[in-house]
Amino acid sequence: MSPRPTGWHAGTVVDIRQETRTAKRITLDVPGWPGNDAGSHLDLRLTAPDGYQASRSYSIASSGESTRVVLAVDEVPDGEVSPFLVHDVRPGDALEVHGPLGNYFIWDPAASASHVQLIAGGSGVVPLFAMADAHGRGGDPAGFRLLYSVRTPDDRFFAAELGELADRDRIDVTYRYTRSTPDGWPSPPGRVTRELLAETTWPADVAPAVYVCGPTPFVESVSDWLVELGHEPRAVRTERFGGG
Amino acid sequence: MRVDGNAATGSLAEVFGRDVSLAITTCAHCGHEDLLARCIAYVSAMGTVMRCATCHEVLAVVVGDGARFTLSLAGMRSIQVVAAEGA
Ligand SMILES: Cc1cc2nc3c(=O)[nH]c(=O)nc-3n(C[C@H](O)[C@H](O)[C@H](O)COP(=O)(O)OP(=O)(O)OC[C@H]3O[C@@H](n4cnc5c(N)ncnc54)[C@H](O)[C@@H]3O)c2cc1C
Ligand SMILES: [Zn+2]
Repeated sequence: MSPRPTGWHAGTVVDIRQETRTAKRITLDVPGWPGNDAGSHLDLRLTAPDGYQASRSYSIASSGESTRVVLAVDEVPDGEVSPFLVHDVRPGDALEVHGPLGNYFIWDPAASASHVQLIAGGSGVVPLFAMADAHGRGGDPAGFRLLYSVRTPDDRFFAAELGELADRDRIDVTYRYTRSTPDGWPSPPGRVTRELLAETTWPADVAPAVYVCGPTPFVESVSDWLVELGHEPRAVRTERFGGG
Repeated sequence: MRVDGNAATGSLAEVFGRDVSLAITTCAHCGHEDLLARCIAYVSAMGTVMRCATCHEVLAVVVGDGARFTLSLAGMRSIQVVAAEGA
């Protein structure tokens, strides 16, 4: 696979949807976009009328050969960039993006023989959804599992799409609710623990490719536990989103 | 904000003109060899500081204002990339 060229592009917002209570799904059309692999990200740059610029990274929820680029942005209260993207951006607006970026944190169906374990915290599911979606559209035999830690059922990103992939047996999804659960849920709310990883994720002896993404403290504790559970450090890929 | 070296790919692409997340770097302090994406990056409005995942010393710093970028590689003994397309 030859690398895709990376560069600055002018995108136009073509669709905006409420993704969760606090997040929007923003679809861009980016003329000249070279397509992107599942899991990659872009840098988005805002320029104020006085020339002040702010740039942030956002994972891409879509993949493949298209000029349509789907983002899902959660509002970080008091943040500089995310509240603007969630509340103020409208269809027809122009946004400057640099990408695609991050050839390390991608899943390539053609190059993949092993099973895949996805582990997400909050909006960290965005690049992992792109991988699950690419797997759902392809015929590869990899066994996909997702462990998704999220505050409440209303905070799930791509809930309908993940449900549809699970119904087709393309992925096995385990939700872990940290603040409140649906009625009748078998366990009380709580964080992901080492024990939960051991119970619900592919064990080290099947040597899965593991992708962990979410807030930095979440990613760091999960990846340490995975290594303690016997996973090869090199088989565990991380994408820290920041926050503390 | 602490993130992965993978998230520094954008600033590095301003200098290298392409995605170098899979470049192999050698730390000048401890000799640790790893993919650039696997170092630890500290991102702020000032720029990006990349630190060795093993010894935490500074590998590289990128600062820029959108018009000009400066990359310091003082903490990297080497950086190995695959040949560009067409080479
Ligand atoms: C590779 C990569 C991919 C990313 N992909 C996505 C994505 O798909 N969707 C998405 O919503 N976000 C994503 N992020 C996070 C995003 O880049 C921003 O950090 C986030 O939108 C907050 O920016 P802000 O300008 O609103 O907040 P800032 O003004 O930068 O920060 C305001 C305050 O919030 C804290 N903070 C910063 N970032 C976070 C965070 N992620 N979580 C909690 N607290 C935070 C800061 O420490 C600060 O105190 C990604 C980050 C990386 C590195
Ligand atoms: Zn070192």
